[in-house]
Parts: sequence; C-alpha cells; structure tokens
Amino acid sequence: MSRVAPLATDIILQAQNVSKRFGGIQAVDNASLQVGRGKITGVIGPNGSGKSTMFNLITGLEKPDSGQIIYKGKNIAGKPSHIVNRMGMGRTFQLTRLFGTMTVLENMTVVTKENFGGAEALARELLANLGLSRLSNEYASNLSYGQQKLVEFLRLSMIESDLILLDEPFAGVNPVMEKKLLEQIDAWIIEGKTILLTDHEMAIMMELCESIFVFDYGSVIAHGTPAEVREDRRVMEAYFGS
Amino acid sequence: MATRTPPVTDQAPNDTNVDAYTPPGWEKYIGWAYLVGLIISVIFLLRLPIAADAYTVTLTLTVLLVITLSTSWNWLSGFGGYTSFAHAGFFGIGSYIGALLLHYEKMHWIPVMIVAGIGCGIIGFLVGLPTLRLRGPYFAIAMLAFTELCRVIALAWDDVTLGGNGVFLPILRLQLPEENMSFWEEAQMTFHNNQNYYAMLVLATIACIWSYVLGTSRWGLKLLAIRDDEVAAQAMGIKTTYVKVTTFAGSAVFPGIAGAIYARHVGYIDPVTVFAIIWSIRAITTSIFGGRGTIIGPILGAVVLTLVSEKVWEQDPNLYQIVYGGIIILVVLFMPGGLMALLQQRNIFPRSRRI
Repeated sequence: MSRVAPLATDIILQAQNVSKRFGGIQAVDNASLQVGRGKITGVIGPNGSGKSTMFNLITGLEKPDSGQIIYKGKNIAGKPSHIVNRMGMGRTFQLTRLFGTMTVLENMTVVTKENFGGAEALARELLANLGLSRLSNEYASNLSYGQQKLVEFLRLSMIESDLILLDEPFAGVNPVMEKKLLEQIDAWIIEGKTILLTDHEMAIMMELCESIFVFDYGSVIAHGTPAEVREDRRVMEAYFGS
Repeated sequence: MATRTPPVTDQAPNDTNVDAYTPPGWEKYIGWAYLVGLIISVIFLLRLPIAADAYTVTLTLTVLLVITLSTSWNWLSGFGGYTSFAHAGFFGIGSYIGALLLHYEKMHWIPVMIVAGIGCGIIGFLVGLPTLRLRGPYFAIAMLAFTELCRVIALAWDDVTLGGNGVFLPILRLQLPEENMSFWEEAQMTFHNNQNYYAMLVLATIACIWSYVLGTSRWGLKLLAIRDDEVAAQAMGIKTTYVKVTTFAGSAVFPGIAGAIYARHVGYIDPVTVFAIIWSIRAITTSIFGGRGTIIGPILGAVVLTLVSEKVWEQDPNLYQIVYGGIIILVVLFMPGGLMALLQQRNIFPRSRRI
C-alpha cells in the first residue's frame, strides 16, 4: 500500500484501507484516498481497476469488507446510500440512471428535501439556463444520451450537496455536450462544492484535477498532482504494460 | 423563461432532437372532471338499489369490490413496480377478522370493518418490512407464499378460526316495505337492506379518491422513481424501504376491509374461498388491462373486465375462463401498458400523472 501523505488542505473525504471482495475478485484492495474540500480530485485506472466499486463504497451502495470512510469527520462505511446522500453527497452513474417514465421536471423535483418548496421553480430555472426548457415535460427515456447526462447533472444541483462524485461523465458525450458538462463542473467549484471524478479522457483529467489517484487491480498504485502521476513508472505500466 | 434561453447549442451530430412534449391546456382540469364524474357516479349508485333488482345490486357490489382491489393493488405494484400476490392474503385475513368478530358478536359491524382494515395494515407493515427487500420475481413469489401461509393458518388454527368448517355470519334480517312509508323511512329501509353494498360503495370511493391523491403527490413520484431505478432513487436520497413498506401497509387496508364486507355479504366463508389466489389475479389482471401505474386504468379495467366476464359467464361458465384468459394474453402481447397507455399513445389522453 502506498503511504498517503497528508495534504495541506482541509479534507472532506478520506477513505482508509478500504477493501471489497466479490466472490473470487478483490475489487478494491486496501485502497486509501483523500479529497480536499473545494478541489477537483480525480481517480484514473484501467477498466475493472475498482474505480466504480470505490465510488459505490463511498456512496453507500456497497458495504466495504474492511476499512473506514470518513466523510465530514464521520465514518460512513456501510451507511445506506439515502443517508449518505442526505449528508450532502451526490453522484452520477457511469451509465446515466434517470427515472425513464418520469418527465425531466419530475426527475429533478423528486430528489429534493421534503420541505423544499421552490423545487419546481429551481428546476425550471436550471433547465432554462442550459436551454433545455422545452424538454421539461418530456419523458427522460426519450432524451438523447448527452441530454440525459446533462439532466443527471442538473438533478445533482437540486440537492444540497458538498461533495459530488462523477463516474465517467465524459464517456460517449459529444464535444458540445462535453463543454456544457465542464461548465457545470466549473459552476459547482465556484459554488464551493468538492468534486471527485473518474474518467478515461486523460487530457481532461490532467487539466481538470488538482490531485489524481491511480487505481490498478483495486489498489492505489500512485497519487499526486497530474504532472507527478504522468511521470510515474507504475502508471505507465498499468496503462501500457510497458 | 424562454426569453432567457441561450442559443440552442445541443444540436450536435449524435444528439437527435426529440419533439418536446407539451401537455394540452385542459390537462390541469382533469382532476375537476374526475370530481364531477365521481359525484354523478356516486349519486347514481346511491339510488341504484331503489331502482334495480337484487341481481344488479350484487353485480355492482362485485364491480365495486374489484375496483377496490385493483386500485389499492396499483399503488405499490403499479406506481411502485413491485408486483404483489398478497392481495388474496389480505382479503382473506380481512374476511376472517370481520367474520369472526361478527360470528362471536363482539361489536357492531361498522367498527368491525375498521378493525379488519387496521389489522391488515399492521400485518402488511410487518410482512413488508422483511420481504420488500426482495426485488422483482422474488417479492412476487414471497407474496404467493404469504397468501398460502395465511390459508394454512386459517385451516389449521381451528380453535380460533373454526378451521375447515368455515365461519357462519349472523343473517341480516331484511325490512319489508310497508304501506304509507315516508321517503325517509323508505331510504332507511333501502340502506338497511343493502348495507354491504353501501359499505363497498364508500370503500371504493375512498380508494379512488386516495388513488388520485397518491398518484399526483410527491409520494407517488417517489414510487415511480423506485419503479424506474431503485438504486438511483436511493442514491439520490429517497428512503426507498420506508416508502415501499408504508405504501404496502396502506394498500393492505383496502382488501382487508373489502374482505370483511364480502364475508358479511355472502354470509359464510371458509379458508379455500377467501384465500383463493383468484383475488390477487383479479386485482392484477384488471389493473394491467386498464393500465397499471395510472389512476383511472385500474378503475376502468375493473368495470370493463368484471362486466364482460359476467356476461360471458352467463352464457357459459367454461367459456368464461377461456375468454378471460384470452383477453389477458392479448393485452399483455399487444398493449402491455393497458388501455390507458394505448389511449395516450394515440394522443387521445395526454401524458399526465393525472391520468
């Protein structure tokens, strides 16, 4: 296990020696990572290296076999995902997971807190900002893939989140849509939110992230600034097998 | 709002633009139309026992019973997507609670109905708590087993349930018309002689109103979210288990009361008839026929299917089963969303949660 050096920033999320096994596969193996408040942190690694599982462990969709996940000073390992969400952690999924038979507007209003009265007004405003007003009453399953990604992003803006996990947001998205997604990420950072994301678009990752954790076979094999990670020999091996 | 819309930039190559859907203006008055329809129907049905013969009244009672079953089934299984076979179980439990309390003459019949409903609600909560963690077919199978378990308990626990002998209920003594009755006396007599019919009318009316309230509410939206993607719903902060279990318990109250009224109506029950899986099947088929996950689908399905099957049954009791089964197969094959989805696809009805 690589030693995780304490970062100089305020830590919002810290995973310590987390492991998860599915049958014969050690999906996550003693992995640790830290996310600084207000920063963009990246997770990269080949397919099947445990990135998505790590996200599921953090957001409570899976229960870790061992290890701690400290979020805002509390251990949330194994807590159900709706509780983790209400503690201010939102996420998107690798393949978009909108509620297909509900309208775009309903997709956005259903996730808000009980006593939040202005949900519909906020949803309409967010849609208008991205030029999607005309889709308000359309079923989510009728949208194009890029539009679904955008709506999934907007749905995150409906909840009070401090940490946002984005699982491969740029996969299969055209350049125009990609720009919109990036704009939304910028907007979240300006609002003071923290982002943890994973993607295979290395150019974007290197530019966007302040710190990067590299996964391979469920373990963190390297971490540091994009420049440091790029130079790391183990990262080259994991990606190119050289 | 549209004025602030920036230039449309999402028309990139892989972005097929869908024709954005806007519901027609009259969509928001659907609720009022229902209210008018409901008031007219209730007035008509209140007067029915005066005008019609006993057969029509009993047939209408059956229609109201099926409306209650299918509408309440629709809450968890239509909106929430959890197909349940538990309705027969709750129907039977409600029948037994009602029948036994009346058999031993513990209390007046109206509180008996309420006790039957609350009892089923509590049992629904306790049963739902562990079983609603199961998904899809596993939950359906668990609910089949639940109904069967109830039947066996009713059969075997004969100290309380009187076992396979069944339960006889006190006979309702009918009042006979007298000469020179005032309108009020006549109304009282009609009510007395048809009290099970009126009880079922009240229950079905409450079920329909509740269906609209639930279907258009935030709670209903959460159920739809659970049906579409339960994992995402949970990850977005919806307390899925709580929503499912509470809905299940609430939907168990209605078959419970309906069972108690049915027991009083037929005067004799035994485990085989009230725990028969056909009660679940009826709720399911009528909902699917009308359109599961819609508000009026289950009501429409209950009226159409019950009347059609009655007419066919009159002709030939064997043919009835074939026709009934045939209709279900055709519906599942050619209009899986039911009548309502078909009408919505043809743009006769708007896509609306008020439908």
